Amino acid sequence: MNDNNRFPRLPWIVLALGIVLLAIGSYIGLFVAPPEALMGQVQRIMYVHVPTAWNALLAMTFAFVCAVIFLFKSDWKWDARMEAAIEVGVVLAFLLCCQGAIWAKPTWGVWWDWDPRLTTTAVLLFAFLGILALRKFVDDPARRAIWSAVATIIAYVDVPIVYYSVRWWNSLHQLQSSPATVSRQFWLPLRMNAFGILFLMTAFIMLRARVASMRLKHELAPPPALGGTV
Amino acid sequence: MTGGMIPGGWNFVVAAYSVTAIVLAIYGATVISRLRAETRRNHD
Repeated sequence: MNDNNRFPRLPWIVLALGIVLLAIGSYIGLFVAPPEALMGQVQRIMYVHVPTAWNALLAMTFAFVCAVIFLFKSDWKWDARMEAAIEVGVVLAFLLCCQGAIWAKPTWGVWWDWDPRLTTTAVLLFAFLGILALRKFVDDPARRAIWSAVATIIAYVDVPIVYYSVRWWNSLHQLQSSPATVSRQFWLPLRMNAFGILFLMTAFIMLRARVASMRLKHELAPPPALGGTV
Repeated sequence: MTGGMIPGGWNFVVAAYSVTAIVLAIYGATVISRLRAETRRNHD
């Protein structure tokens, strides 16, 4: 169960790398990249908002993979990894909604709108938050792992809906950009921050999975033998 | 006239980057503190 402890320093190295990349990418995004032709300075929010969105969906995808593997293999390490990935995904989805609201106010004139992209993202956040709540309330580790794995697979259905919502429905939110549609001056800070947040997310999942593994070890340990004689 | 460009906006940019830094720092700190607590419990 503790196989992620084979490289005890790895999460710290990945964490440091993530902080450095995010700091450099943010510096370039804030002070080097030019303002965008229509959004002006506000477009600089994209350098943290878009990488947060990519990595939130990636964390939830990893949680889905962990849930499927746990159901097939019943190996506790995948339950610990799933718990970690869900929690990190929820944090990133919450951050995504905050950044989106801050960007929406100057561009759309409102903090929030029940637009398909925003609504499906909010559903995603609350669905995975509900799974974390479920895990808190179920004491039996086996039931908790199976129920939350099944719930994760069901909640994951919303991830492709979030991604394609801007194509399937009329949305205020713009379509996904590609390297072909983004100027080189913009994609350098975007990619640096994307890798920065990816490394931070990976380090958080590795560290959080260790916490979950250690808790599971305690929960699954046989109770101490009673002293004395009957 | 701003030629269609949204004027100003630095306050929103600062707010977005600050929220990002604060949320990631607080979450990172809680993960590290939980890891230390569990490690201590494991050693006891």
